[in-house]
Amino acid sequence: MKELLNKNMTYVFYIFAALILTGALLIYTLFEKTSVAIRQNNLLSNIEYIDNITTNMSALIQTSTDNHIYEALKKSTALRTNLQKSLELFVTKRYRYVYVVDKEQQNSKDFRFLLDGARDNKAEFLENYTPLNIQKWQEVYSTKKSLYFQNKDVESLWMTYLKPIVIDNKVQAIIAIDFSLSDYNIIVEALKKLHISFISIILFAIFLFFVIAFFSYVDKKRIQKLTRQSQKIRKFNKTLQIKIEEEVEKNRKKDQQLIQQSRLAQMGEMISMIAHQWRQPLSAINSAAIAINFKAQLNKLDAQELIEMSDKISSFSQHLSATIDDFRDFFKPNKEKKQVTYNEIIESVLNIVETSLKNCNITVIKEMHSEIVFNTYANELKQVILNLIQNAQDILLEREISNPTIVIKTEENSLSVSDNGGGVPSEIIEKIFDPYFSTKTEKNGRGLGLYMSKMIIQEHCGGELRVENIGDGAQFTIQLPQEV
Amino acid sequence: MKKLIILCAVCTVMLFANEDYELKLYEKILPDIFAQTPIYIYATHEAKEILQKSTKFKVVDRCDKRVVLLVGEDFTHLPVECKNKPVFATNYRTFRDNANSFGAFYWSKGRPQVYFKQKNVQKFHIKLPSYLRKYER
Repeated sequence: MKELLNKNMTYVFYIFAALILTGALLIYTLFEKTSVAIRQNNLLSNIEYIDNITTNMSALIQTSTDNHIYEALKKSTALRTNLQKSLELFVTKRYRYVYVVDKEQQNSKDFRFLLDGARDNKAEFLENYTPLNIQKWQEVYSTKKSLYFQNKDVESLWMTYLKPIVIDNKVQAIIAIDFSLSDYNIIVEALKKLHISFISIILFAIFLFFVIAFFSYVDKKRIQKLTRQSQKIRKFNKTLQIKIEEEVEKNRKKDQQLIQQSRLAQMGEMISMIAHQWRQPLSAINSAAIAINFKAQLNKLDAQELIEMSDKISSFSQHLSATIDDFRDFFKPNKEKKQVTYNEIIESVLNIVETSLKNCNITVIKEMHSEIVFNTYANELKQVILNLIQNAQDILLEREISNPTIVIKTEENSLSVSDNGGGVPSEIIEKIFDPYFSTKTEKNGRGLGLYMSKMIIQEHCGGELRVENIGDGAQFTIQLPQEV
Repeated sequence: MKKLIILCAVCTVMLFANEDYELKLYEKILPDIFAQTPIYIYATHEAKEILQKSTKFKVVDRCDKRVVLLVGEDFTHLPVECKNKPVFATNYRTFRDNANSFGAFYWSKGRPQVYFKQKNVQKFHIKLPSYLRKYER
């Protein structure tokens, strides 16, 4: 829609610009015609006026001289004076020189003054006169017709009008009037300025048209480029969305795999722990069985002793059964939150891991200061705490710490598990929660335990799991939210 | 007012243009007629002012033997030794009436007029260059 509007606007601009240009050219043409007409009319009206004057002069001279101009003027000084006074009447600032000349012979090249309308420096009767553009003057003699021309050599602001006095089809004399072109020139100059202004405006309009057209073209190209780019971006965005969805799906699958791997690892560890838990009762059952068998062979087995032995075996079996229940509960994921205390959780975890720790001579110190009852996924929290204790155990064994100790401390909403295993090196402390990051070289080092623990605390329990080095070891702290 | 200024400017230009024109003409014609450098001239009125501007001419205040040419209009009170010197007139009347005038240059109706009097050209044994012969009357 916007593109269509832009396109339409461009067309409207071109049409509008073309109309303005055409209009300007039409006005210019009209102006040129009018300008020529003004110049011609101004000149022609001047000429017409002068023609009327000279016609009257001619009539006056002919009448006064009875058609014998030279003879009559030669004869009568008074007539010359009178006629010259008449000519003087026409002399103004505009009509500068008014005079009458003739030629002694028709074929003579020289002219001579017959009458001069000048008020001072009057030419004398029959004074020689050599006009400029003499061929024009000769032309008047030959054609017997009036003509006018501009004096280009001298005094170019003046024009000369020549009127023949024709008697008996013969040019007897020429009336000459030099008239000023200053008014005409003022008009011509004004028209010239107007012409220059017009041309400038039209050229400017054309320049402006091209400038606007150029920028319009550039803008059009820019919009086209922008449209292409936005189309590309839209297309890219679509692809990106698909790619993101694909990546999210991949990550989800990866996470599932991680969880699965982690679960398998924990199961392995659990089996190991079960083995530890079961070793003593199984050994006791085995001892009881061997004792029963031995005494039976020697016929020394009495009923009382058999009952005691069978009670022991039963007791050990129940212990084994309880252990299985504990592990089964441990791995049963909670679908709903339930109210627990840190003490209950820690006791439950220690039930599982205590034997293993004891076998490794690791001392467990409990500093339980929190009695808060909170709502959480207990089994998942247990898995995290178990993971932290197992990590502590691993590092204590790996580094062969002489007095291995694990401290479990609760305060308000936080629970910390610390050890005296030497702490986490500073260069890797930032990476230990990353997936597949492990410092362990043994069978359990998959690098998923801490990553999964952090995920459980952050994503499921809405809390925070952090690590810091304290004294001679590392301390992992679980901070659960207040409202939990 | 604007018209008046234009008119004054035009008149000034024409005045100086005419003077320049006259000086150029004198500098062209007279050395071609009188083969001297400088040409000693006794001149009157405007002609004196114009000729003084040229280095080709030596315009003297008193007409004496050195003078070879008189240029101007009124030569009625000349010393005896100058009475028969050739005259180059600057108006029609002097050209027509002065017995020694052999040539003239003046303006008539805004047009330059150049004439040579054949009779006096011969009288003073003046040899006109070919381009001036068409002005002989």
